[in-house]
Amino acid sequence: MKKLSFFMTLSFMLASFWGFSQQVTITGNVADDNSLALPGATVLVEGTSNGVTTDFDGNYSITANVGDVLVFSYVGFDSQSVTVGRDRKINILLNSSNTLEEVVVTGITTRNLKRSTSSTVVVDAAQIEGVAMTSPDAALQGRVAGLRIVSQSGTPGSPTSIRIRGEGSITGSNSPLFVIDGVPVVNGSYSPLLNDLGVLSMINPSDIENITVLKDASATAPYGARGSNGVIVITTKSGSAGEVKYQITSNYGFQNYAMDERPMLTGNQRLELAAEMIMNDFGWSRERATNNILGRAGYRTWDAGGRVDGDWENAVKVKDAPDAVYNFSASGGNATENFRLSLGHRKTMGTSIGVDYENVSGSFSYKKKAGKVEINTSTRVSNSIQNGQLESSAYFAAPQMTRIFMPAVFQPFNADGTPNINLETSIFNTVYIARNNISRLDGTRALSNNSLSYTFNDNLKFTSRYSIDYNMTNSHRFQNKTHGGGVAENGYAYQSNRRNFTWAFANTLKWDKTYNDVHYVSALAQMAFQKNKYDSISASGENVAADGLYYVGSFNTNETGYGGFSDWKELGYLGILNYSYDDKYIVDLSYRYDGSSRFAEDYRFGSFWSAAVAWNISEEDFLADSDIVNSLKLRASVGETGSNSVGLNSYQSLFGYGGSYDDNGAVSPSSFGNAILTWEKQAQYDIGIDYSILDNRVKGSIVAFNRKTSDLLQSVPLSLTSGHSSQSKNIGEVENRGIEIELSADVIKGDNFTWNIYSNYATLENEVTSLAKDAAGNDINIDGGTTRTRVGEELRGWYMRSWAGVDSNDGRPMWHVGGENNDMSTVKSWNSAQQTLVGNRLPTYTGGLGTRITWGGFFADANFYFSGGNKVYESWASYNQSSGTRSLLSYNGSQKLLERWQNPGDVTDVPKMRWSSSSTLTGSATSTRFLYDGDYVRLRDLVVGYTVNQKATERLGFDSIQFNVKGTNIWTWVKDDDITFDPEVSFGGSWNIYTPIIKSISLGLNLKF
Amino acid sequence: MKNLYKYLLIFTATALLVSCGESDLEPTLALDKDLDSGINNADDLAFVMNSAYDRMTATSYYGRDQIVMGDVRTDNAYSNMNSGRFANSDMDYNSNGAGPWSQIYRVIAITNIVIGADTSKLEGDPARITHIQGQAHAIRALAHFDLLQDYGQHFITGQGGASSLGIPYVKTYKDPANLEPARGTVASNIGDIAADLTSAISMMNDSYNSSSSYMSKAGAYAILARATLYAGSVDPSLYSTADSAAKWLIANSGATPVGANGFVASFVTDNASNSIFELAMSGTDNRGINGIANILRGPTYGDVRVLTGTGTNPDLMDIYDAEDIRGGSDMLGQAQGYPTMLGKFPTMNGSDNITLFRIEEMHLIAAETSLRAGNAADALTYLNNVPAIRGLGAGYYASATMDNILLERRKEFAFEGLRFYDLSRMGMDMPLIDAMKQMNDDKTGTPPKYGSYRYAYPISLSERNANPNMVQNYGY
Repeated sequence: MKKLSFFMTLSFMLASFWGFSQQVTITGNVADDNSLALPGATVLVEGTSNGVTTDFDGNYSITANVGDVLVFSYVGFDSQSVTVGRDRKINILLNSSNTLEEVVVTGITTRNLKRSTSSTVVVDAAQIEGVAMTSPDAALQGRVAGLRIVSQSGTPGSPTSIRIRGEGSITGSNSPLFVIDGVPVVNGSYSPLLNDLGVLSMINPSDIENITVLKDASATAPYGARGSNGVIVITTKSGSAGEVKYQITSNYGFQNYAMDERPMLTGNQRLELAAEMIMNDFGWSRERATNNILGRAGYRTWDAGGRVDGDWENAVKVKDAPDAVYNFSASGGNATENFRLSLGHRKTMGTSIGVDYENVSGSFSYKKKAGKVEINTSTRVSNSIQNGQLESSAYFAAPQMTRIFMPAVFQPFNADGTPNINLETSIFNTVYIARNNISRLDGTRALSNNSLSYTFNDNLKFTSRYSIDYNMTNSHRFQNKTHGGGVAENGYAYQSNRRNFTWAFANTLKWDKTYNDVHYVSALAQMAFQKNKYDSISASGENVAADGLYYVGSFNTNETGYGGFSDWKELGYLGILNYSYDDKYIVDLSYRYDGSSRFAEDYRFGSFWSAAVAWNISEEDFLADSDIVNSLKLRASVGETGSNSVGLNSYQSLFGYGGSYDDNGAVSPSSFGNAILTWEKQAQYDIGIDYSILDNRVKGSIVAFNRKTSDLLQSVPLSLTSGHSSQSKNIGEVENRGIEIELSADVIKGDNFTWNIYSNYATLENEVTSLAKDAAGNDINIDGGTTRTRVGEELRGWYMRSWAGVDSNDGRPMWHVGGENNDMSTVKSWNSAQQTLVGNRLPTYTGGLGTRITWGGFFADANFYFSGGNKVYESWASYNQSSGTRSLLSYNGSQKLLERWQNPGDVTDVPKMRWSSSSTLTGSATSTRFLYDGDYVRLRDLVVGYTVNQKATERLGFDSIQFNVKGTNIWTWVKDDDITFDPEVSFGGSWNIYTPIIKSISLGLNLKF
Repeated sequence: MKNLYKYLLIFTATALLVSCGESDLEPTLALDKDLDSGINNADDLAFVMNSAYDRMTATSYYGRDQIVMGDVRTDNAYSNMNSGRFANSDMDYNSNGAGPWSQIYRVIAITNIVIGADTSKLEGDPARITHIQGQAHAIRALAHFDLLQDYGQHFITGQGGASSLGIPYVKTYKDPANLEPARGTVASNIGDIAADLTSAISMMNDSYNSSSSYMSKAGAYAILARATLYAGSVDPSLYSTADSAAKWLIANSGATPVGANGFVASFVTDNASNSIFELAMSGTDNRGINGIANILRGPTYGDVRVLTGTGTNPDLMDIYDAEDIRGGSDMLGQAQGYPTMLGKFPTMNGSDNITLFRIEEMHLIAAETSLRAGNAADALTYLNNVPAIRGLGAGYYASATMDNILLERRKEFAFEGLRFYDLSRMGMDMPLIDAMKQMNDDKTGTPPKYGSYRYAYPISLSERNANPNMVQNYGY
């Protein structure tokens, strides 16, 4: 016994001795039960304030005494305690307490998912990092049910456009609100020139921790008058505790057009068809007609030169355009302070000639806890330079216009390899243009986000946040005096500076408390003010004395200048109340009182609110012990948000002072005005189920929603006799209804091999339920040349003449009589046919399907995006598919024209060639002939990667080494065989002339040390 | 506890600092002024009136299309479709609409703001204010006259001549009762045009004339002469109005014809001696690629060229005598391999003023009205005045006939936008020069004949959709 107590005493003393003398550093890794790292997990020495959080890779480093108890905890996981003994490396696997217990970040609140009542989807860094597009939001495609995103242009730096749950507005914006680290920021693009630079592309994708998409009223109502189109919340990476860790990532890729380019007529094909125009209309022989054509501009030189075709397709294309991205970051800290800094550089060549993009960015974030005070600051500055070319329409100086408009009879290059500018056509040689003109956007964005929090006690916290979003864009356009649009002016230069400055200030008081262990109550009160000011100044001049001068200062003739200023201000008061009873029954309420300078004084303020309930059925006794159901939640929400995206000053009837006559001022009314203009209101209803079953291996959600936009801002057409074309009014209602399904399944979940499948699917039904009425009480329909908006129909549904094919007897085009009764009898006069509602502009279904496989150090990830049920229109078909002079004399035609009617009995869809420039006579006027099914499936991402094993990594002195190969848009399936362009067209539904959307393959390397 | 008070104090201070009232949400109006308080004096009114002229210079109106369409549909010019522009030269209009409807009504809106201004509240010289309002009346008449020429149904077979559909004559701005106006008859339009011009003539005062770039009493007479000459084809009693207006101008306007030596230069001279009314264009009004010069001779577009052919109908190159300066190499020639109008609107950056009325027209109007009134001697005198001043000698024409007058008008005003309206008011078919160039779609081998619905533009889809009282033109 004595011996025993002696040994015990000895060991106790030894332990104490070790404890006092050997304060040790423990390192390790915290991961979940799938061995996925848990960044931000807390490691705390029990009973002390000594604690750290894990870094992005779940690594931590803490100083403790032997015998201390380390407590590892992470929201949504069961905590674990480990006593410090001899091991200096402690790796912990935390078991999730319930898979639904993740957190929902709304930009205003952060809430345990179990107590959330909203529809939110989080896309994390793994999906965002290395995205081939320059805009980080491009990573959202196919990942979020009900979110549609299009790139439209493949020019690097171009913006993307996003719609969440359809379109609720006719004339206002349908774009969601972007929130970065709790602050609403400007989005959109700068396009003083004919290329676009997206402001979001100035956020480095590798600085983003995750992107949360808020869809339903309970999540968006707190954003009041700006929430109705959904909210995209971007959370950036912050520092982590532990020793300073470094990360270097690099990606190098090659880009090409995603879809194969359309074949255009060769010189001989075009000649053959052109001769037929004369043969058909003047009865000439083919020989005589051919000779006539060969005597004409373009053909003449081509024929004399031995009929060598110009290869314009390849003249304006850059094959395997390189894209190089390098990022460096460092982060570190301890329990009371941490930091992260990052540097990024991207250089991307465009797939069109003369296009490139370069971005440099830097960020620094720092967090300090000092007692009850917490200080956060982050600054990110980025500069993007986009050397663009004209696009978005058939500009003569647009390389992509040349690709499909320039006849092959013209040669792009002279014998000596220089661009040939002696072309007998009005179209420019864009090779020369791309080499000699400038269309440059140079944008700088600086975001500064600062907050100071004071924690009064466990229940009450006050945060004051001040942020700045500064955007400065310089644009520069130069047109040379030798060839192209600058010839008439003997050289032309334009420069502009635009400054868009927003500052925001918000004070938030948060309180939460749990009573009797079952009543959880949290409340938030916020006052937020935001002010934007926008300055622009531009100048232009003509007539330059010498080559090699590019800036306005050297262009001293007919100088013009412009300067402008505008501003907007917004003020909101917000209250949120969340109550949970035993995490079974949850009630969520919000109210916001919002004012905006965009409206007349009496209509300036509005109230927005939401109410939501949720029932965690799985917490009930009857399911608590279920082997099948791990969690099950039923939720419903209702609320009213707004959209104030109306043009500045548009409530006012104004005189504009911009005009001039005879070099004197000219004053004219700039808008019709409407003093009672106010925001669009939106009532949104959601009901949904979230579930997780079979040991959390299958989880998902099903949501049904209805978005009703009322007080719709409608640009009510005015009789042009008023001198105005439209007036904005708050009239009309639109409904968007749909179902959204998300599903994820771990098919195989082995130690060394896992296979997961995830998918989402959303339907959308869009219907106008009310419109403005005229004096007689009839709806003021908004009928246009290609779309119409009427009650009971889709917003801007396709409305055009219905194509009835070609008469096999005489080769002439036919249309259905159409009209309201959709008369299917045919006529050969386009003017006699009537427009008919012919299809959906908005996809009726969208979705994504992905799979992820891990096997040892290898992983593979594939993500498909699909969309359909809509039609897309080919805007320039009347030029490229005209059976007449437009395609055969003025410009070029598609090879589809070779299928033209030639003899009685021929059955074809291409009318006979006619000596005519008329689009109606040649069958190329607007009709369903050029309206195609928009259904497509695209392999958006395909990633294959390998993480080098731990031993080898350590031997090389690294923490982690990963290689990956990433393909973007590498495969696309299109339903309609007649489509010769990328079906990912703008939301307007019409294809237009842009650098085609890219596909890319890139090789990535990710080093951590 | 002490701390709590401290923090409450800080919190309150911060909240106060940023608590904002509704007044802080007043937007800045940096570039514009409120409409209701924008016109306070004679200068303000003149600046508003300037925007009526400014809007007339738009490409879709006198800046290009109105002038080009007046010739490209006729035997003077055609579109070679180099850039696909002016495909309408074949008069096969798409029923979705054609012509300057929208832009002309934008001009009219300005004139109505000026005319509707409450003069009792304006500071400044009352006579000058009246003069500016007189200018507005004259421009309103001219704008409606152009609309009537383009959209009126008076020459279309079976539409009723004078009682056929004209255009809505708009005399108010933003009047809620008149936002969806119906079309008046051609006769009522002509009456309104004449009434506006009568008001204009009585309101304007020559002491306020600055240059022919602004409307004047002479300008109003010139509009009256042209409009009533044209309307005479519907109501022959109006020829006498045209006669007296033209002769008034010859006697009183102070404008003098430009001689042969100065003829070429007159097209690059602002406010030349023969100018009665023109629209000012400066280098900074840069129309660039969309200007009239570029459509007439390239290098970029160059679609609209002189129409030549070998048939019986004379083309423009055929009608001039060798010594006629108007057909000389400075005026008509070749560019990019096409017969081209070189001398009118020659400056590539579009800085040539656009002359709408010059005194030579008044001599030819007087010749025609004299002939129509049976006074052949006077007619011959006025007719021969024009070739004489062009250096072709006195007594060029032996007799004054309608054909000779029309021929002289063609020679003098080619590519100034008058030819189409001359042919239609004289009841003529569009002449065939070269079927392949004219590209007329009915493929009958001839361009549209007088009375065809194609002599009037279709009313646009957007107008018909927005205005329930609007009626589409016959045939579309």
